[in-house]
Amino acid sequence: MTKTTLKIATALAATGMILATAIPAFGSALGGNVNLGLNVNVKASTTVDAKVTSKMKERADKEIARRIARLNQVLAKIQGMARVSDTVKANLKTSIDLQVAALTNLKVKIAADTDIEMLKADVKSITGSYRIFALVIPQGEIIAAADRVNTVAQMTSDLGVKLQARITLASTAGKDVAALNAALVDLNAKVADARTQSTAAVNAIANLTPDNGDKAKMAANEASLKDARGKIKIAQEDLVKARQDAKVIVKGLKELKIEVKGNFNYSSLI
Amino acid sequence: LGQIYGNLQVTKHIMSSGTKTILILIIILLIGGAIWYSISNGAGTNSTATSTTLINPANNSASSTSTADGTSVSARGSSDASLDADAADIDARIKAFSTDGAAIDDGLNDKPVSQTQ
Repeated sequence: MTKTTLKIATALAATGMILATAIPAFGSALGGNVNLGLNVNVKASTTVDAKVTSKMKERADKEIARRIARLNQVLAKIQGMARVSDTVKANLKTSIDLQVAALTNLKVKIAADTDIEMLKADVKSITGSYRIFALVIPQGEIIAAADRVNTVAQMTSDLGVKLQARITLASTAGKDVAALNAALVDLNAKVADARTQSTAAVNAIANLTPDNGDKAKMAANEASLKDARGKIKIAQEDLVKARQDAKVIVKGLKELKIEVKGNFNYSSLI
Repeated sequence: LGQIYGNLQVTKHIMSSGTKTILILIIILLIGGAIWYSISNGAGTNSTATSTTLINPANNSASSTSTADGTSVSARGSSDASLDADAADIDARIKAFSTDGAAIDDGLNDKPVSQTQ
């Protein structure tokens, strides 16, 4: 009994000693596991943030680059304009230059952003500034289109002066020019309307300003831009019809076979 | 020419032979230039049934519009060939109308690249 009790006591003591050694180690191991788990979470969180930041910067960069390219495209068109007033050209150029400068600065700032909240705010400003871009681009394109309309209108008008002279010449030679005169009247009317429409289109949009989040103003701007677009379309159609009139007149004149020698003073014949 | 030469004969005692040679050369050049101008002006005529000569221009009153070849619509003249050239220039610019319209529509329908995560 005594021996058995002693054996049991020894076994218990040994077990106790083993457990006494093992439990702290086990506890420590558990603690280590907890700590390790926290470290993994922190590292994962940092990785996710870096990925998010990178994505945000990539998207922002793409949008900024797209807008700068489009603005420069319109700027190049403006520089080639010949018949739009210098004031309109200068105002539009100023707006575009400001936009390009602001976007370029924003691009640099976003690339350097290390604080996530700052980055979010900068990215948000891209969206906020979109209304300016959405106004300036159609404005520029409409003015560029109006410029071409005015150029073609002038060319057609110049051609009309020559055609008038040739018709007068044919009439003086006793030819029937009634149909040619009718076509010329239509040509001149179409050219005049094209000019009226293009001027109205430019006037409708030249002084529009960004809505800055004002929805009523945004709607008004959109309506003005669409109205101007419609006017440009009418002006272009007018000039296509005027060109058809010119074609009819030129064909008719050729059929009349009136000899033309050298140049002449058109105005003396009108 | 005979009269001019006669006048030169009258004044020969007061002019050196070198001066006379230069004067004759100038007169020949002027006459040659006038003939060349006359021929080149008549070069663009159309040979057709009815012939009517127009007055040479004092000016081209209409404002000019530069074209691709550096001339202008109003400066080109009014022969059939000139009218065809003017019309071709106008056609080339009219073709660009569709591009202009598309560019405006593109601007009106533009959508921003989404910035949401």
